[in-house]
Amino acid sequence: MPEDPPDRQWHRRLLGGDEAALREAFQHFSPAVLGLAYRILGSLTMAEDVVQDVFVRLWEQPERFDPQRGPLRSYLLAMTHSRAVERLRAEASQLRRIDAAGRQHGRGPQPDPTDALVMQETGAAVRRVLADLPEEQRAPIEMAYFGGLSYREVAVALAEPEGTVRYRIRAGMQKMRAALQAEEVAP
Amino acid sequence: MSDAWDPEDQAIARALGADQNAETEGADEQLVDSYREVLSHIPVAEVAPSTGLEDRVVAAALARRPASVPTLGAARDRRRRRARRIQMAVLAATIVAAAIVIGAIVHAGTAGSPAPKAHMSLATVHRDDIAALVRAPGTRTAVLGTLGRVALGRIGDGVVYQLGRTQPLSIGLVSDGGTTVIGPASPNGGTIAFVVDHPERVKAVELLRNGASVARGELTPG
Repeated sequence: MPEDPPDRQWHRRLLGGDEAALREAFQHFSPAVLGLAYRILGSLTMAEDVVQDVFVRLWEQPERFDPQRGPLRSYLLAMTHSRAVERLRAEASQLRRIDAAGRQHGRGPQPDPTDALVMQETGAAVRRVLADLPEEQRAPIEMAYFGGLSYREVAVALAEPEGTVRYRIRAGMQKMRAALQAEEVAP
Repeated sequence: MSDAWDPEDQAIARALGADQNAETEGADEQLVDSYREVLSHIPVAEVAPSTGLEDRVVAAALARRPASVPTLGAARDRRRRRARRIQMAVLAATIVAAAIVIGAIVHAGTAGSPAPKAHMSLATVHRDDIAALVRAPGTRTAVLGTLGRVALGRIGDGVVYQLGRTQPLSIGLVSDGGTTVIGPASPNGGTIAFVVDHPERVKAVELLRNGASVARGELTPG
């Protein structure tokens, strides 16, 4: 897995209690963190709370991030996703979440309130593959990831057997992972 | 299709956070990480944090664990941000004052018409300020074809943004009383800021190049 050199520097400086490193990491990653939290929660106020949780946690326990295991961006986004889904599950009942995910199904990415759309420069292959995935694979992945639904809940929302949902998610995710790996080894 | 969960299924469900069952216990953490990285590349619209969020987050973080490295850089950054906010406020006030004077010499439709008066600003508008303007109550926005976007605040502070490298553009503010054309000017950092004295009269915004309209967007509440 390639290592982003700034990640290692941020890690070292965060471990050393360097406030400037926290600010730099915030300035670099907060738009993506806020964007993901907002996409999941649909509330800027709640999303900003998640952003605070994530960066406070990064500062408080920097040793939990291991640059050998992956980029800081994916570590922060995984934590963001986890915190946002926890909040979503706490705020909305299972039925409401399934209903919301079902209604969102097929609408594609939602606009953000600032219209400040800035996409990542890396991972283009993943985005291409995601865009090309058949709807039957893309939809359950997005419902699980952005809607905070379990496989069983996705199955209910799509009126499909749970095993079918699991198979389709797996097929789509494997295609994206293969594309990312191919991109990483490409010269 | 088998019902058995293999390591791939376990890792994918863990990465998606969809593992509310016991099937993913003992998942291969390295595989989970690789799928998390995949998910980190799924396109999500980034959102600029509101002004002050960084300071709030840092304050909360430092309350948990004090910094042990001198933060001269951070203090300098804070001073710069504070100075920038003051500069922006002064600039806005100056622009509004200037608008009253300059408005008299700006094309504003026929005399006595309700077409608003306006002018451009040379200020570079930071992304945070655009986000704040877009979020502000009463702000209206429009998409200007593929060239960019525009946001017009309730008090008349406007900005055309997300402009790429382009030749100088004029901005047309379309109202019932006519079109007020200002400029041309080259985008500064992808933005052109402007001020208009009666924003409520502006129905749509046009971009013009060499006098010809190249994009137009009807303003709608954000």
